[in-house]
Amino acid sequence: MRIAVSAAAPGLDAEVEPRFGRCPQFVIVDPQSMEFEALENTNAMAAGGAGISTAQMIADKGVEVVLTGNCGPNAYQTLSAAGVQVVTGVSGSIRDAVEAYKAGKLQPNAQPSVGSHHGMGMGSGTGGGRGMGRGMGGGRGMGMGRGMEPGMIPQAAPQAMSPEEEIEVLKSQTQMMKQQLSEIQRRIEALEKER
Amino acid sequence: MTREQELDSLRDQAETIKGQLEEIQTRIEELETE
Repeated sequence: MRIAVSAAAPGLDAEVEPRFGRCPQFVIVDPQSMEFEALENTNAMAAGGAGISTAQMIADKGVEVVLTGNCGPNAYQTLSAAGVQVVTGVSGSIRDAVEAYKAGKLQPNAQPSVGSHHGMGMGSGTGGGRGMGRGMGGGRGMGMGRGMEPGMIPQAAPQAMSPEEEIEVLKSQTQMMKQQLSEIQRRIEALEKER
Repeated sequence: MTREQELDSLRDQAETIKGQLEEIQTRIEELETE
């Protein structure tokens, strides 16, 4: 079994990072031996779709369980579709989080713990975030953190989506990303005309 | 951020999203042929 924990830094003594899609690192732990692998999250600074891309990266690593602070709907759906269980509301050190999971103190969520775009623009900020805000206004909710919702209370194990459901989710994500791309391209054209 | 920096950043973002869209499309096609 392999457990991926969103991490602020590599190592078992690092703190659990509250964000999933944009966390800087993952620590993938074998709970039996406590051997671990540190994995840099190359999607942490992505302009959009970080949750989906990160979820795909984690699923590709053969992980069965994710321990994190919060997980948005896109990442949650992608992970669930891949059969990965998601546990949110996790904090403290990675070692303690894995030990708590082993002891049965943490249970998978049945739904995402936060809404879309939670955590975007947090932390030290990125060039991408600033550019997007200036170009497109705040309507997309970037940088607007949301509070935790009741759904983050551990509930029953999630059911994996059927292929048809996954296709619907992916098509919905495609539409959202095409819209983002369209907005970016409009901003690029506007900037080029200013030259 | 200067205009040139913003343009570079936006172009990078656009390329990233295009790549992600291609990955999603590939996955959709895989699912549809299952």
